[in-house]
Amino acid sequence: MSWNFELAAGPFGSSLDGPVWDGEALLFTRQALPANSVNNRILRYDPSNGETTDFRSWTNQTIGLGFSRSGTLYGCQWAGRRLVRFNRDGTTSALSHKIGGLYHNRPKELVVDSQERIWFCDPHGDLRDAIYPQISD
Amino acid sequence: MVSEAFSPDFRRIISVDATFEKAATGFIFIEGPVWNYRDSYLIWVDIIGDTIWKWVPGQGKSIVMRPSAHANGTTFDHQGRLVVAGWSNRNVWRLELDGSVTTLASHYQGKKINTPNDIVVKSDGNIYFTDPSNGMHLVGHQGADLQKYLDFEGVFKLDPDDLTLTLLCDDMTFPNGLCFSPDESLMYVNDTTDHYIRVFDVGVDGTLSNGRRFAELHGSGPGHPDGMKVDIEGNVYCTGPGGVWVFNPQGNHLGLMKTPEQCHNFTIGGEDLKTIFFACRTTVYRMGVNIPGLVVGPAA
Repeated sequence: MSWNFELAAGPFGSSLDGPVWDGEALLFTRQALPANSVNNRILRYDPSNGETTDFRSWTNQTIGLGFSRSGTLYGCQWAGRRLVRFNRDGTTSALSHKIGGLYHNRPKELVVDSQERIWFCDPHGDLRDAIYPQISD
Repeated sequence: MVSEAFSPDFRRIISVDATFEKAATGFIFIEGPVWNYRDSYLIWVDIIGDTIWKWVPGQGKSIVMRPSAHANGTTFDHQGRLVVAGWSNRNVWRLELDGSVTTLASHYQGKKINTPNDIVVKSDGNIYFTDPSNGMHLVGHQGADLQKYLDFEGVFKLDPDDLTLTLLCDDMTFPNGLCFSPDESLMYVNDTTDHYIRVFDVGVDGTLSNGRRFAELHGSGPGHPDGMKVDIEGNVYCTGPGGVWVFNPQGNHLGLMKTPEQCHNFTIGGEDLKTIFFACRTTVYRMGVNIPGLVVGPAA
């Protein structure tokens, strides 16, 4: 058998990541430099009409996304070196940013289990381009 | 030598044998120093250490406020009240003389502002502040909301009486340090990302116009445009690569003060206003200079 790929959305001209299904549409992230660029976004592709819309801007290089069973959206903020929660009211809350007193490296991808625990990977990445001001640890 | 002259005029400001002395140390990431002229003490903040500090000559340091919502720039109004760029708290607030806190600004046209960074008070009492977004991108930020809403990073004027916010400039990448010329006919605003100082004419209504490039700060060494002040002659001091850069009012680069650590901000203080206090990451350094700075807060 062969796979048939179909272009759903894009191209967007920069790196994409974090695809996650919200029940009706596909959310995914777009990364740009610098970290404070508006083009760090979560986009939403709606297969019912083929349209891609902005879901959230200024995501500070959020890469991986994940929903909990209760529908809460979490993200791995690469530039912010932390996990965040994208609240339904449009605000964004900082979650875990340290372990054992040290800042995370570069949280990248996450998944939420049935007990609402977040599992994430934290590769070392390149910390040199972390946005000013950087902290020594 | 801890300073380097690019023009003979520089030695009128900094003597060749001037040195850095530690005033206070043991902090994480300090910023926002201001000298209270009337009562002779220094205020600064430790952003990451979440504390506002005070230093009195001969007495040493003490805590003014902790936690401080990761406060950043500070200044005094003409009543001697500390006015604070609230950064992680995403507001501008005032520490009243009774110790209570009054929020002066948090939204512009219904949207939450970014992360107020540096702040000055004009002689007429109006408050001017820069509002870049870096506070919400900072690693370790612990504010309540990391979401940016304004689609610009602005310079604002805040009327302390009716709390009206007026947007003065919305086209800089990262507006940060700001200060008036001694006669307040000019305002200087620097851009951390784009490494330059812009100068504006200040109108009779306090708004800014005719923005043009005053100086660029490119070079090696750690540091970038951040804290900025003028002395009574109108010379402009600005953090940059390697330390604090000094320009004459025409924008000519006179010299460099090579700070022992990366300097993010400084103030000109001391009883005769001839001591610069440098906020350098972990330590407040001081150095004597020959030309006085400007009085901040009440003169007497």
